[in-house]
Amino acid sequence: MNFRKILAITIALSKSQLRASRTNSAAASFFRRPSIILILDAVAFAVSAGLGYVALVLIGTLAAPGATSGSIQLHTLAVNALREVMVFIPVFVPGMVLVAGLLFELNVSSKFSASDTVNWLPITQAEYVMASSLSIAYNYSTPVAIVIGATLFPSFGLGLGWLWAGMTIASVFTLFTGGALVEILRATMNRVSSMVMKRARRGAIFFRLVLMAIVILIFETVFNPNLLIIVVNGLSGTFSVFALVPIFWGAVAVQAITTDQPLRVLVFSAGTVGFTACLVWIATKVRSRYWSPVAFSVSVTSAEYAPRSSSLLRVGLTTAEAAIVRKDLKGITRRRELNQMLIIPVIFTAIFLFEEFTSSQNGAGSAGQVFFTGLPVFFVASFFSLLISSSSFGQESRSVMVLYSLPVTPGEILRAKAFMALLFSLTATLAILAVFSVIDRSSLAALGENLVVFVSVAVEEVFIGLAFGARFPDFQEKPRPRFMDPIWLLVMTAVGMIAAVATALPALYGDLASTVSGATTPLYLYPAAVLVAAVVSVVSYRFARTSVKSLMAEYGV
Amino acid sequence: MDQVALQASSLSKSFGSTRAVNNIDFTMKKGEILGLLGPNGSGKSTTMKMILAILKPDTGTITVEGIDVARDPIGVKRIIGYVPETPQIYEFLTGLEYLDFISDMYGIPTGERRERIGQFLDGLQLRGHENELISGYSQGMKQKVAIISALLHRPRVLVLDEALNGLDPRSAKLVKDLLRSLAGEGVSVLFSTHVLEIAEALCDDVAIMYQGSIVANGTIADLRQKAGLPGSTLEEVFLKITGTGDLGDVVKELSR
Repeated sequence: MNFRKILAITIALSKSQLRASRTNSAAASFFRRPSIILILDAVAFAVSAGLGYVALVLIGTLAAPGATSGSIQLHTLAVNALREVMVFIPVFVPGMVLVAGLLFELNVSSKFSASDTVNWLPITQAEYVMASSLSIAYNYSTPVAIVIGATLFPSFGLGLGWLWAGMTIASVFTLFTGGALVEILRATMNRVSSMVMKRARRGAIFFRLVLMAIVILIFETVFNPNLLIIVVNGLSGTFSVFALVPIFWGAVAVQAITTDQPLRVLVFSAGTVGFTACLVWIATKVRSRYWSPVAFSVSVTSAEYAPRSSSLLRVGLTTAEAAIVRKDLKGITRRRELNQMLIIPVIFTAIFLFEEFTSSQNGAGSAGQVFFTGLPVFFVASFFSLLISSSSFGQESRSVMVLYSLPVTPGEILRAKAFMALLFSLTATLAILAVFSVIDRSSLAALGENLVVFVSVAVEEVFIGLAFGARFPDFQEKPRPRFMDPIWLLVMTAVGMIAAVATALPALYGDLASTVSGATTPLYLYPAAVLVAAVVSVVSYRFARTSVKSLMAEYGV
Repeated sequence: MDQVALQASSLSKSFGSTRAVNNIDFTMKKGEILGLLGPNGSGKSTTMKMILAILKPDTGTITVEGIDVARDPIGVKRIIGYVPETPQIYEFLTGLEYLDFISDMYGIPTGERRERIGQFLDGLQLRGHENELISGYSQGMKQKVAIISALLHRPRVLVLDEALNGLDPRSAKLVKDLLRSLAGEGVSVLFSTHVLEIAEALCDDVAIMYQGSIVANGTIADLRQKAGLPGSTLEEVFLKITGTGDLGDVVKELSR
C-alpha cells in the first residue's frame, strides 16, 4: 500500500467534494480548498472551547463555598452528565458518519463511476478504500471538533483530563470507522443496483427500489443501539453487554479510563483498531467484487413503438407539460440518486415503528407515544415534500440544456414540476397517514382533522420547495448531484419547517392534549391551518414563477 | 430580404472580463450551408447559443426567418433544429422515449412521429438499440440521437455545433448528404466544425472566427484570394488567417 498515493487520492476526493459547484469569485475559491475544513475545525474548536469555558465557570459556581445542597447535587449531576456524554461520543461518531453517508455520499451518479479516473489509473482497491474513508472522515470532522472543543475546559477543570484525551483519540479514529462503513454500504448498493438493472427489465425498477430500502433498513437495524442491547442482553445477560459489540469498543475503552483500568483501555483500544481494519478489509473486498466499472446496456421493453396521446392530458396538462411529467416520472424511478428520495417515506415509517418497538422493549419508556400518529406524518408531509419539490429543477442536471433549446415556456415547466411534486408528496402523505391512523386506531374525526392539516402542510411545502428549488438550483452532477445550493437548502428547510409547524400546530396540539388530558382541539384552528397553508402556497408559487422565468432567461450552467 | 434566413447584427457577449463574441455581423441566406470555423474558444458555440436564445447577447440583434430572437424566443426555437457541441441528453430515458419526448415538445402528431422516428432509426443504424437506456450508449450513438432530435420536427433552420463528432463514416456521410438535400429544399444550415475537409466539401460559405470576431468570410475561393494563397487547401488558408500557421518549433519542442 502506497501512502503517498493514498494521500494524493484523499486530497483529490476532498477537493471534488468542496468544488462540486462552479462559482468564480475569489471568496468562493478560498472556500474550495481542502484546508478550509481544517480551518473550519479550528474555528469550531476555538468557539466551542470558549463556550465550554463559560459552562465550566457556571458549573463551578454550583459547588462554590456556601452553596446549597441542591446546587451541589446539580454540580454532581453536571459532572456525571459530562462523563456519560464523553463516553458516548465514540459510539455516536460512526453513526453520524453513516447517516451523513446515506444522505450525501451514496448518490454519486452511476454513469460517472464508469469513467472515474480511479478505474484506469494504477491504484489498488485497498488504496482507494483507505483514501475514500479518510476523505469522508475529514469532510465530516467539524462536529467532532465542536465536541472536543466544548468538553476541553470542563474536562480539565473537573478532573476528567485523561477521559478527554481518550475521547478525543477515540472520536477522531471512529470518524475513519464511519468512513469505512460508508464504503461497504456504497459498494453493496452499487451491486444491488447493477445486479437488478442487468437481469430484469421494467419490473427491475420497482424491485431495485425495494432492495435499496431493505439494504438501508438492514444498516439502520445493525447500528441501532436499542436493538443491539436487546440482542446482546438475550445472549449474555446484562453484564458487560457493550463489550460484546465491536461498534461499542471505543466507548468501552473510554469508559475504562474513568474506572482506572489501563489493561481494559489497551485491550478495547486495540479491539477498535482491529475492528476498523476489519471493516476496511471488508470494504476492499466488496468493492473489488461488486464495483462495476463498465456501463451496461439495459433494455426497458421489447414492445413495438406505438405513440399515443398521454392520459395526463385529461387532467388539464398541455402536451409539453405532460411530456415533462412523464420524463420526470421515469427519472425518479430510474436514477439511483433520485430513487433514494422515493424510499424516504418508507424509511421514516420503519424508523418510527422500529424506535417505538425497540425503546419500549428496552424499557426506555414510550414518550414518543404522545405524537405517535402526528410526528411521522408531519415529517413526510413537510420534509419529504420539501425535498421532492426543491430537487425538481436541479434534477435536470446538465441536461437542462435540452429544455433551454426546446419551445417550452417557463410557465409550462413550473406547472409540470408542481404537478409531479404534488403527486408524490400527497400520495406519500396520505399513505403514511393511513398506516399510522390504523396502527394508532385513530377515530374518524381525528383522521379527518389530520387529513385537513397534513394535506395543507404537504401542499404548502411543495410550493416552498419549488420556489427555492427554482431560484437556487444546482445542476452539477459531479462528484454527486446535489439538486440545490446547500446553503439555500438549509435556509429553505428552516423556512419550510416554520411554515409547517405553524400549519400543523392544531394537529400536534390535538395529539398532545388528547393524550395528556383527553381535551380536544378547538375546531376553528383547522380552517386557520388551511388559511395559513393557502397564503404560504400562493406567495411561494408567485415567487417560483418569477424564479423559473429568470432561470430560463439565460443558460447559466 | 425574404431570402435571408438568419441575420446577426453587432452581436457581442462577455463572460466576466472575457469577451467571447466581439461585435460580429453575418447573414445566412435561405437554403445556404454556412460553415462557422475557428479555433477552440473563438466564440462559435456562444454565437450559436445566442441564436437559440439560450444566451442573451450583451449588444446586437438576431432575427431568424424574420422573427426577432429577443422578442419571441419560443417562436424561434420552434423553427430551429439544434445539435449542441456536447449533447447532454436525458440518459435515464431510452433512445425511443427521448425522441418521443422531443416529439411531444414540438407537437409532432403521433402518426407522423412514428414514421419519422422509424426512418431515422433505420437510416442511422440505431434500430435494435432504441429500447435501451441512453446511459449505455456509446458517444456516437448519443450523437445520432441528438441529430435525430434536431431533425424530427422538419426545422426551417439548422444550427449544428460539431454535429458530426463521434459518428462512424457511414453515418457521417449520410448526415452530410441529408444536409445537402435539406438545403436544396430551402432549409438553412449553420454548421461549425474543426474538420476543415468537411467544411470544404459541405459549405457554400464560410465565416472564420478568431478571438470572438469574424476575421474572414465568403466562399472558400474568396478566402483563398484574401489570404493570398490561390490553389491552397482550406487548412492552409485557415492557419494563415488565424495567425496560427507556424507550428514547426512547437512540434520540435514536444517531440524532444
